[in-house]
Amino acid sequence: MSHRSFSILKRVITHHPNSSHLLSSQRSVTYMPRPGDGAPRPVTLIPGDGIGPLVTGAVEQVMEAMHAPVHFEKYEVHGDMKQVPQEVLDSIRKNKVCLKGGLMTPVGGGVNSLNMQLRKELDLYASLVNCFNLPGLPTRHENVDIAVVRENTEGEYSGLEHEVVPGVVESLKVITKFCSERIAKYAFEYAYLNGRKKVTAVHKANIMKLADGLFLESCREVATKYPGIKYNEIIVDNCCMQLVSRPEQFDVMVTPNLYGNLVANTAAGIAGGTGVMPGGNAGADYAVFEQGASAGNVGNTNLVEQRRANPIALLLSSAMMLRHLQFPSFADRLETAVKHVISEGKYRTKDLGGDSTTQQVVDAVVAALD
Amino acid sequence: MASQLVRRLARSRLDGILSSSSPNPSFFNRSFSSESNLIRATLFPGDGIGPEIAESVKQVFRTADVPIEWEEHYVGTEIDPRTQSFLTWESLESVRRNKVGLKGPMATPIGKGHRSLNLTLRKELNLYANVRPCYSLPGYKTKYDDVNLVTIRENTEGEYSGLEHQVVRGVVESLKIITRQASLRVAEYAFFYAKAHGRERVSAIHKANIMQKTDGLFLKCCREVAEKYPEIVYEEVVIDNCCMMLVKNPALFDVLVMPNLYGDIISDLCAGLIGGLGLTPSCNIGEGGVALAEAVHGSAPDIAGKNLANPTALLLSAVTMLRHLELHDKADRIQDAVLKTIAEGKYRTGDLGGKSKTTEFTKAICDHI
Repeated sequence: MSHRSFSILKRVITHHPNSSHLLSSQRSVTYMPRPGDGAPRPVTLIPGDGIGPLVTGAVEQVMEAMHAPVHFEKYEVHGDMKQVPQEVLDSIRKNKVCLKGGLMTPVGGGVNSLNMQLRKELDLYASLVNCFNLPGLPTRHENVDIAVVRENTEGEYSGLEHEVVPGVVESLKVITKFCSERIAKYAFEYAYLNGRKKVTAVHKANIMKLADGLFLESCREVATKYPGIKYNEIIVDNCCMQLVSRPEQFDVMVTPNLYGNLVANTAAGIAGGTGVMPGGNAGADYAVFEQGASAGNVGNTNLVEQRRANPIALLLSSAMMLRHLQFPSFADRLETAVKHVISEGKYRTKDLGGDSTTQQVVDAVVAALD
Repeated sequence: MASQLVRRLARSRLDGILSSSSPNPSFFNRSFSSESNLIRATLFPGDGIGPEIAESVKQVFRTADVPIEWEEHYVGTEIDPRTQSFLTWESLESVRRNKVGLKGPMATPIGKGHRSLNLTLRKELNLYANVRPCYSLPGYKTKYDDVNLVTIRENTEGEYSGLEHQVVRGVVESLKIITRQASLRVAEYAFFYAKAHGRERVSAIHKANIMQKTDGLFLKCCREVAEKYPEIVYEEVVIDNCCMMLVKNPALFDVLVMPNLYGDIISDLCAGLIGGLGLTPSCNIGEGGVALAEAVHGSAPDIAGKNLANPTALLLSAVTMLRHLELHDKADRIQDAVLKTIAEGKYRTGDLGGKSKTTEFTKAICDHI
């Protein structure tokens, strides 16, 4: 069983979804922990709104089944609260890692998005969405393996708006060298540590010459420090066009805030949908893991009532979290089980073309764990 | 010279007074009394492959007996001080007079001291809406086969106002401006277009959960206009949801109306869904009922003059222009001919995977009319 899971894993890691031969089964060189690393780590858990409680419940069940060395500290936060409660922030600051369902942001006004608040308070400046084809899940595009690194704190989402005169509203887009540099550094470091070959900067500097020009300058400077990684730039509208026609040309993409939102959701859509793509937010001190792309992470009332939300994205994000906590073999087991369930195709939720409920998918994943 | 300018000013002011006093939205401020006579339209062939594909359009229109008389204007070789660009005042006046135009690809000359050609056209003619009908071409297979939507993008303000400044070293601010007037204008056009072309749904694309005041104002204007058209279904979609739905299932959308930046990205995304900019028609609507159809691809200087260019984008844009003029039967005939030629697959230019020349492709279309 471990041979098969290892070879499936190796096949996925070497990005050759079409090769079907099983590689010779061998255990890799082992991860040597420090004494005491196996003590259960506390992780803050925020179920959130809508389908949030459903999918975080799924993660809790699977973690239990694996006997993973994490225990969750649950806190109730809802999208219509004025701000994130202080105890939640304190808990995240203590534990340093958090797993979050979706928080709804009411459209139209008054309340500042709680997601944005969380990111600003904890200075989670990098948002990562990993979009890749899952073997066994048919999509229109093949060979997709894109990681979108998106600047998370400034840009168009600074929230600085005001009405000049009645009927004329201004919104400020702020770009600073400091933030652009650190997101570029994060993107290149991610590429370096994950064996990625190319980083593409997405911009609109032909129109917004100063703002996106500053972003590009920072990216170019950082690129010179990583001569082994290729760097190129692409304008955002061309980028979206290329994403829908030839997505295999992209590897790691680094973008400012707004473009990153669009590109991440587009890339997630072409690779299988936002129900399956993992992601997370990272800062210098803290990390919050959630469903990758922001679209649909709260779901609609239908999904909540019928309990048919897709837990795959949050399960894969929790695998990312396990790796972040330095429990690699648990992460591998979880990922293998999830990929096995997807490729089998028997238990799939509605957005993937099946009609299972969340619980059925979770049971299948638990059964596939070895 | 001064008297000419005074006369021109007086005439334009008079036009302005006349159009502003009319109670209806001034999309069709043209007299159709001379139906039997020819309609004059301005043609900018453009650079690179522009002249060849403009010739294709003229040929197809001649074969189809379209009652249009072309007035050709070329980009000048020196800067006209009245317009601060290479486009002459006469060209712009011609478009203002004729109220319809067709523009081929123009290469913006590099250098300082003049505005870009597209910017000149947009500002001088007050082109506030960019309309791109995107539909899958039968016979040209892409990964998406059921695309049939129209993107309408506000073209004058928003994030592309060009107002940026450096606050201190290393900190840059860029202003995004949304006004009630511009948002109402584009929303009015979007609903008018939907009604005139038998579309059932209009979706406003926004990010008002984060940019509450700016996109909130845009949405308020769209809602106001939606109330006047109760037969058209109106919905609002957040932009990240929209992107995801577009790449998963583009058949969910009908007419999309958006502010400037989102419009730019989404309209190019939709162009990518159907096969690229070489096949996408586009039309700019201006104040006073001005419609300037254009081909949005580049001027492709490497294949200029070699009879290899694909005139499809310019032809379909010309069809959009005909629909604006309400010459629907001619528009349908030409569109059917183009689609049939591509679907048959016998005559296709290089970028579609074939080997025909521009002239052969054009002739095949003319045969199908």
